[in-house]
Amino acid sequence: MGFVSMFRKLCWQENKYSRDSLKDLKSEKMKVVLRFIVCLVFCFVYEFGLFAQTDNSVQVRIVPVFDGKPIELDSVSYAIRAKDSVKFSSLRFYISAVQLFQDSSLVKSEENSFHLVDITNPESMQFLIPVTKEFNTLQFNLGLDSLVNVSGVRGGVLDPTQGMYWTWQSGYINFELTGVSPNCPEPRHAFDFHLGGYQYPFKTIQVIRSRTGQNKTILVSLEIRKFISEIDLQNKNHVMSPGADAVKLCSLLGSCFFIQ
Amino acid sequence: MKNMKSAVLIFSFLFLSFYAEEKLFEVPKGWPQPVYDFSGNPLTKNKIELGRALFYDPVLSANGIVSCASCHSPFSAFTHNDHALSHGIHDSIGTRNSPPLMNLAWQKLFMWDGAVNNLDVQPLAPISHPAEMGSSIKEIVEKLNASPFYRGLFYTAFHDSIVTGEHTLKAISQFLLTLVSANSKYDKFMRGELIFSDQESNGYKLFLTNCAACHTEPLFTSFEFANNGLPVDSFLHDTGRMKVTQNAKDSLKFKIPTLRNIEYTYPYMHDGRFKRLSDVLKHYTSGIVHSSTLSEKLEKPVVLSSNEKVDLIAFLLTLSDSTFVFNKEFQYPKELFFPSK
Repeated sequence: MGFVSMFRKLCWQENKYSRDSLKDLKSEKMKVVLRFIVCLVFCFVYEFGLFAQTDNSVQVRIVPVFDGKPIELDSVSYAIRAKDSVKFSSLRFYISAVQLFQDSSLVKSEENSFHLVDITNPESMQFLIPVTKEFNTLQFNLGLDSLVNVSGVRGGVLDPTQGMYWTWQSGYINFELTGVSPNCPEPRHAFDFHLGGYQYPFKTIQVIRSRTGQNKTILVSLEIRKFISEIDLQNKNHVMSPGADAVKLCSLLGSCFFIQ
Repeated sequence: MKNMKSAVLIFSFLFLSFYAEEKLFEVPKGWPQPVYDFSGNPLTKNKIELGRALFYDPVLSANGIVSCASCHSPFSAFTHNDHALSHGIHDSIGTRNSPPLMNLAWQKLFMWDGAVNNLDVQPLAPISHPAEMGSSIKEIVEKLNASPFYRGLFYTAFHDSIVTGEHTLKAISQFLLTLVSANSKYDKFMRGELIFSDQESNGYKLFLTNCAACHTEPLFTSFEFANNGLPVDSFLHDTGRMKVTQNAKDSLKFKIPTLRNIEYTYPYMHDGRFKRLSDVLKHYTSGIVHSSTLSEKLEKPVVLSSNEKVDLIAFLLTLSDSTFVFNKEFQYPKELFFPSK
């Protein structure tokens, strides 16, 4: 699928545009041959990956819930306690380094394991991991490790256009939850949690690890009530930079995951 | 698994053989290895050219008036000379002096307080700052995707006409990485191509005794952060690196800037408070404010006679690199924006 056009792209397109392309015909021919080989190798690897995926895999579903029910944005008002309620307007977070274990021995590490779970995008809330061996434990990071945070710009779900990268200071936002609550101050009654930070002593990444069932689907729920009801929204409604608050809230988040 | 490994090996070998053809970046003799990871963003002519277009194009700002070059002009070694604090969109004034851009491949942390950890993500700060370009990378990518001109350039550079934030920032990095200044009178002296005047030689000796501990050769900075004893500006009240680390030990520390091309980069200091080099020397000899975070290298007073100050400045002027400032490859890409038919 599309390999012919891909091959063409790699072989010819650059020549068309390159200024010095006709300088040395011999080396140009060499270039084309080299690129052809690269294409072949690439296709091989690509195909290999595809086969592995369709074969035997487990589905991981990540569902942010409130009292066990999937969260709805904007429209639904959730009661936290007497005279206190919240509406959510956005909920996004990074999941990375997804791994499957059989007891303590590693069975499978997901390749290129970065997911931006966004409640407005159902596709982002599930993914497949190809695995052939038995496993009984799931482990992943809530957030991104420091290596990702220091190694320059990345694409896909890590592209800064996703809006999960701070601009005035380097680093990804690991977890974003925003909304309104009557107890938050005027004028918008808004709360904004942009939680992240990768540097000691304000590291926010959380390792989540739990036993799984035998099913072909692993359900990971994030119980938001457990998180939001611990926060005094009247006094703590904006945490938008790395620091002690972000660390505290992320460690609280780490205890809100439930895996079945 | 074994197959995969060998495939990856072959791939990287072939890839490197492409890369080795063009020498778009060279480490000057006697310099340390750069810290920028070129393997993640290998330089190509087309990507550098795209980066240059983006650098000079005001499309990066919300109102289409401010470009990177507005505050980083080539003729002043890519800073905003004569401006203590730079002005951005709607004539808003920022809070710090815009730094010159050169030899960025060797720099570990960016901004006066080191808030940015990689060259690739550095442009996000001015792009998003309400007093600089007032835009966002998302907005810019949308604008670029709507431009046939840029879609063509991105296709040529990345074999993909769909503009992404990753490609946009990588292209800007590529252009910035080529901004290497290593051909000043000082460099020629070190290469044995010329000799210093008596005054410059004496200035060099004074530099080695009094300045080189922080402004280390050959890049003329140790890339560390230090409190150089400036009195705190009561209006800006800028605590520098402490804002980033939230550690009181970093209070009033700022990045030690390079001294290369210092002739062109006035005014000086993080808030541009000194107009002349003589003001800077006066600060170091008689203006140091002692505080708990003052650099220990400045605890002992710097003593320079007025003749010695003149000699030291004569040496500092040998760090001017006119071939860098006037390099055609670094200028406004007129031929790209306005091709003659």
